[in-house]
Amino acid sequence: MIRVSFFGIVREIVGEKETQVEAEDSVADLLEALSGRYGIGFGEKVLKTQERDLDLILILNGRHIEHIGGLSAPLKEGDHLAVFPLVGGG
Amino acid sequence: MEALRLLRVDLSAGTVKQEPLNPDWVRQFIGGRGYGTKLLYEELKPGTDPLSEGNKLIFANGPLTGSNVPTGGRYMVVTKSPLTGFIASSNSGGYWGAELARTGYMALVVEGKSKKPVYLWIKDDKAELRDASSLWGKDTHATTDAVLKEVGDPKARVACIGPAGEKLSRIACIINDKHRAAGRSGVGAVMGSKNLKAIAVKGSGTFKAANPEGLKETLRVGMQKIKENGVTGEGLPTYGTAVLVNILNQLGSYPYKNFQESQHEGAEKHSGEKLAETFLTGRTNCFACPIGCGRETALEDKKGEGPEYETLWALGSNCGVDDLEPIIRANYICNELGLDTISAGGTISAAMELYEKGFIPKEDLGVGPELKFGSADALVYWTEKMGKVEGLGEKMAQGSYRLGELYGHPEFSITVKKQELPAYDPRGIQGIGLTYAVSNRGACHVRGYLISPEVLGIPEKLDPWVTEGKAQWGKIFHDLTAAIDSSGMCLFTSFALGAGDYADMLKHGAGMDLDADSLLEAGDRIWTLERLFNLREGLDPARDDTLPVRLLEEPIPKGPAEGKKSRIDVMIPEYYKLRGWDEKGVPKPSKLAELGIK
Repeated sequence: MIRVSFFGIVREIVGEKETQVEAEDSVADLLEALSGRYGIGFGEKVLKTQERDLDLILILNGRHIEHIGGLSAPLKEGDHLAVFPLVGGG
Repeated sequence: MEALRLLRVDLSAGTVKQEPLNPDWVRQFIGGRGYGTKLLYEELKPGTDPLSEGNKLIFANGPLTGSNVPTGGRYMVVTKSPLTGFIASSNSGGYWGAELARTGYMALVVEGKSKKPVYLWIKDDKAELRDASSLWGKDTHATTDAVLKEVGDPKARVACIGPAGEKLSRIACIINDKHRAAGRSGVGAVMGSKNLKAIAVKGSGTFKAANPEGLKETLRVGMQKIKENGVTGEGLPTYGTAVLVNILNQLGSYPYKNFQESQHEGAEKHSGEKLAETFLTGRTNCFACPIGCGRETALEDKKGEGPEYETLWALGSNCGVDDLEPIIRANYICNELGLDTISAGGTISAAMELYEKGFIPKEDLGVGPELKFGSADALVYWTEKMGKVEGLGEKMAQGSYRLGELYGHPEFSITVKKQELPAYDPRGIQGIGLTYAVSNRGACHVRGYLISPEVLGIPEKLDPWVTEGKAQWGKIFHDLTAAIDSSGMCLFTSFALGAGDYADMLKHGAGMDLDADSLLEAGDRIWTLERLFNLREGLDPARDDTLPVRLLEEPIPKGPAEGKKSRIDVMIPEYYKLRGWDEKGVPKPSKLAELGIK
């Protein structure tokens, strides 16, 4: 299983803090599975991210996915994906 | 509104006088941070004790402060810092700066020392010093209310100090509009050393753009970018800065217990998400701000603003504290007593480590709770003692470096140039470590917010673990930030806007002959002049452009960034070179000539 945690506005969209998902091949596959599960709001966020790579911050086991293969980053049993909206601060 | 002027206040003589601004300085240094730096550099006698009457306290707006450009309400306090001994330039928002602009003054220069406590009341071009004996000892909220009552205008704006500034705490801030802080580097102590309790302002002028039509189009473009940007259009308005807690914690670069570790299991309990579920009551905007990152909160017995991300970390995880309630309470205490929250948290965390390791003896605590990591009671109690400068709090109020030195272990002070580090571990995020190390005002994240590319991926994603390219990114960010800080706008707009946008706003708004390149060159000039100021005040780059030993030698012990140490040693030489400085970190004559600095 893959543990998926949601933060910020994404948590509000999906309505829960955390879920478990059957292991998928890649982050992109996992997002697609989640889009199916959570519907249009989450799907739109994911689509925007795939187009512009901007609207979500995806951290897999403590690393931003950009540095471990992007949306193609492979997944394995026991991984933890943290899904954040794009945010900023000081 | 007529041409902007400067007001010089001589507290020793009890006089005020108007002066014109120096147009060459405006052209070269813009305003705000840049103009203030130039003024301090030209006027301050080298070697001046920061807390003596010889120091100068400058409040400087940018040319766009008080205008309708997005976030055009910022002002800067520039002085010689009693914390670092180098330049201080502390930025604040709220409404005070915009109100000052309406009086027609772009800058105030406060000199000398009053024999008794006074406050300054500026109404349009009239200014007078008034007795503040009855205000001395009051907190910032009571002071603000009392001054507003006394001047008889509830719409006036007040910047003031609390007891911490009066008692010369080197981590004291200046608070305006009750909740906004010119926070860092002890600027509140300089105000206190001059017996100046508050500055109230009220103006009736309005901003007149140099080219109204040009500005209108520039604003249309700028506002659209801000609205469409994921951070300024959605992230910051919805969650404020606090939502960063979980991101940095996930990355394992969220310092815990005075940087002994860098991931905190209890961080979720004081995250932005948790804040939104519990104590959040509303959001606030500063003057002319379309973003609105400010948070209103309430406890059972009081309400206020914040805490922001930095404060949540400084008073939370850095002190090992999980829960929001004591963090919010300590944040309110800092604002009321006039303490910088980052340095307050960094000092308590250092005190906790000193105590737990046996270097602060129990008898020095008096009746106070033990300084143990994770103790909410200790956090609240010692924040108050520090703000009131009482008991051990008197020693803590001088900041963590002096506290550590007093107890024989300054190595537990996590500071650069004696100023406490912000909320990003430079071992796991290399570029921000470069900013901390070379920042002219001591450890600071907002001299060049490399978190934007290294963590958030704006404008592009950089790997936080690598050092390659960070010197170049650092220089651009440092120069751009210096220019933004001089314009009167908020740094947060830079998530959406670029150098060309700021140049256009200054061009059409203030009639300045700037484009993207010359704006960045002005930033370079400002940064370099700050450097010259520091060198004149005794900066030794080999000693001072560095990080605490812990961050250079002790790897992050566990978590995703386990094993990482800061590698500023490979970034700094490249950075000096890019700046046109020699290998010792001194600007070369050729660079000064290029920038027109004599």
